[in-house]
Amino acid sequence: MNETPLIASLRRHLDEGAAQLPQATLERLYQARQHALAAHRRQQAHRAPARQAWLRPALATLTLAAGIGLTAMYLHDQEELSAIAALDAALLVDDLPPRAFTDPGFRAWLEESSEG
Amino acid sequence: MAGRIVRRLSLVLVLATAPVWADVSKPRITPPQPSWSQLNPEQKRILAPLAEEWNGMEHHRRQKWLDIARRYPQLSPEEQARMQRRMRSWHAMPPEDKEKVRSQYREFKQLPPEKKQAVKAQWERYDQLPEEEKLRLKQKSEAKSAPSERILPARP
Repeated sequence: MNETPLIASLRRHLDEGAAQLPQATLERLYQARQHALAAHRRQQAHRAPARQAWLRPALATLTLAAGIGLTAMYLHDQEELSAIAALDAALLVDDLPPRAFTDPGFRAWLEESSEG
Repeated sequence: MAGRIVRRLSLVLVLATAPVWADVSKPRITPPQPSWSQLNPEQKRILAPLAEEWNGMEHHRRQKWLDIARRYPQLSPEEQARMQRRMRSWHAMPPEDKEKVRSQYREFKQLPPEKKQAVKAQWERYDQLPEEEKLRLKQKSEAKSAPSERILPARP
């Protein structure tokens, strides 16, 4: 033991004080200490497994679900972009130019020729 | 620890889904795309008509054009020239108009070959018309109470 003289004297003083306590008080203190320790053990037994037994797998599942969801979203978007690129590429080289589809005059022309 | 993970997870979800609320017509996740100076010489040559607009373009548009550029070498020289001629006006068209054109073009592509040929022949004849005649047809179309905005008749 590497006690400084001050700590040693404090200890001696407290021990002497404790030894002078009545037996009934010592008994009560002992029981209170046992009671607190038991409560602490109960708390530990309840809490720790609760946190680790179901919260962790739940979080892992949630993370996995979010990961799968984001990946699916990304792949879907990529597929859509590629389909649009293919369609635009076809539109850009077709004999019928894109403006044919927006030209109101051409619309009327088609109607007239189908009527006549 | 659990609280920290939940906070991180919700942050990831919020960041990932934020563009969904912003605009549903755009892709939600697009990886970053190269700027004009990062393109290779071949890509620059193909996409030359878009050189000025490129750096101001959204990433999903850049990705689409790079995809188109990958298809370019398989085209005939005539098709390549036509594609390059149309790039700028196509890019400049408002997104809603482009969407209309795309949806009509999808239907057009499904027509039987002889009908497609007929529409193309009509276009060629229409394109040769004098400007006054085109204007008359345009006014006629716009004078209709409920313009259909469609070239092709709606399918049943």
